[in-house]
Amino acid sequence: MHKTATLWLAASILWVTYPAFANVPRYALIPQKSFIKFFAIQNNVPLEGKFSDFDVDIRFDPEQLDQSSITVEVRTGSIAMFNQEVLQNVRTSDWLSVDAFPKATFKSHKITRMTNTDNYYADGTLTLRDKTVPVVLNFKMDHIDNRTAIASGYATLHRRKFGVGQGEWANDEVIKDEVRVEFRVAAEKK
Amino acid sequence: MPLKNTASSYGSVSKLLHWGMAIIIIGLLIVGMIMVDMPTSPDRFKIYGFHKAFGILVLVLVGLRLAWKYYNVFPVLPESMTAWEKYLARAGHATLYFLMFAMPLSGWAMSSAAGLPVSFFGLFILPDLVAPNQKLKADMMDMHGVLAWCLVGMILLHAAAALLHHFYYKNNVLLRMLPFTKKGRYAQDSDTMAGC
Repeated sequence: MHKTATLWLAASILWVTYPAFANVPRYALIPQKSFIKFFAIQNNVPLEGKFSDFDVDIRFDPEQLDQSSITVEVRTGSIAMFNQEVLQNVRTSDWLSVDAFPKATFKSHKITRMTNTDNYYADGTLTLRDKTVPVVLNFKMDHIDNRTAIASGYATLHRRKFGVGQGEWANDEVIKDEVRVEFRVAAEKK
Repeated sequence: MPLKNTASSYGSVSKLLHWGMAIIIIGLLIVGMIMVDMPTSPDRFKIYGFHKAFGILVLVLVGLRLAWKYYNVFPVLPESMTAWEKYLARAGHATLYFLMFAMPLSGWAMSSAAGLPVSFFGLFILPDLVAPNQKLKADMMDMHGVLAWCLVGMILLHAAAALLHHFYYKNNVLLRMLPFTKKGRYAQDSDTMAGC
C-alpha cells in the first residue's frame, strides 16, 4: 500500500513537470540584431572591441527559471578592434591565443529574477583559454513575446583569472584586470 | 624678481613657463623618438600614455603662455639689431609658438584617429578630435614626426641665436631669460644697449 502511494506520487510529479519542462521555449540567435562588445582599460582609457561570430542556445521562460538555461559560444578569432597594433597583440598566445583556443563558452547554472523587475542574473561559468571561472551575466529582458525575445546586459570579467595577459602583461598597471562585456541578444523561438 | 615682464627683462612667470616648457618639450622629443621603435610591451603603452599626457600639458601651458605674453609688455629687442635680424627673431619665435601648438594637436588627433583616446594623467579623458580613421592616423603620424624634427631644428636655432647674442653681440638677450640673474645687471645692460 505504501509502495503504491509512492509510485502514484512519482507518476504525478512526472505528469506535472514533464509538460512544463517540454514547454520551456528554446531560442535561436538572430545574429544581425545581436552583439557582444567589451571594454578593456588601457592607460585609464576604455578600449572597445567586439566579437562578430558567436552563437547561443537559450531555453527561457520567466515562469520556469529553474528549467531555463543560457549557453553562449564565442569564436575568439572573430575579435575586432579598431587599433590594429592592439588587435594583433590581443590575438597572440599572450592574450586570447585565438589559434590554440578558438572558442570561449559560457554556461549558466542558475538564473534568478530580481523581484518585481525585468532584471535577471545568470550564475554560470566562462571557459576562456584553458580556464573555467565562475561568471555572472546581468541582463534585462527588453522584449519578449510569443516569437522573439531581446535581452541586453553586461558582465565583468577579471582577465587575469583566465590567463588573458601572460608574462609581463599579467601586471594590471597599464591594462586593467577588469574587462566589461556588454551584449544584446535577439533570439527567436525554434 | 617681478612676476610680470618689464621693457628690459622677463618676469618670473615668463621665465618659469619658458624653462619649465623647455624641459618638458625636450623630454617629449627624446622620449618620442625612442618610444616609436620600442617593441609592443606594457612599458611601451605606459610611456605612450605619459607622452600623451605631457603633450597635453604643453598645449595647456602654451595657451597660458600666449595669454600671459599679451597681458604683459614684451622686453624689447636690442637696438643694435638690424631690421631684418629683428624680423628673423620674430619669425623664429612665431614658428616656435606654432610648433608648440601643432605638436600636441597633431598628436591628439593621431590618438583619436588611432582609436586610442588620451587620458590626462588618469584625471579625465580628452574628447576625440576626429573619428577613428586609419588613413588619417597614418597622415597624422607622418605630420607629428615631421613637425618634431622641425621643432628640433628650431630649438637648436633658438639656442644658437641666444648664445650668439650673449657671446658675440654681448647683449642681455640671453641673460634676461635666465633664472636667478640679478635685476641690476641686466637693467644696466639694457640701458647701455639703448644708447648703442
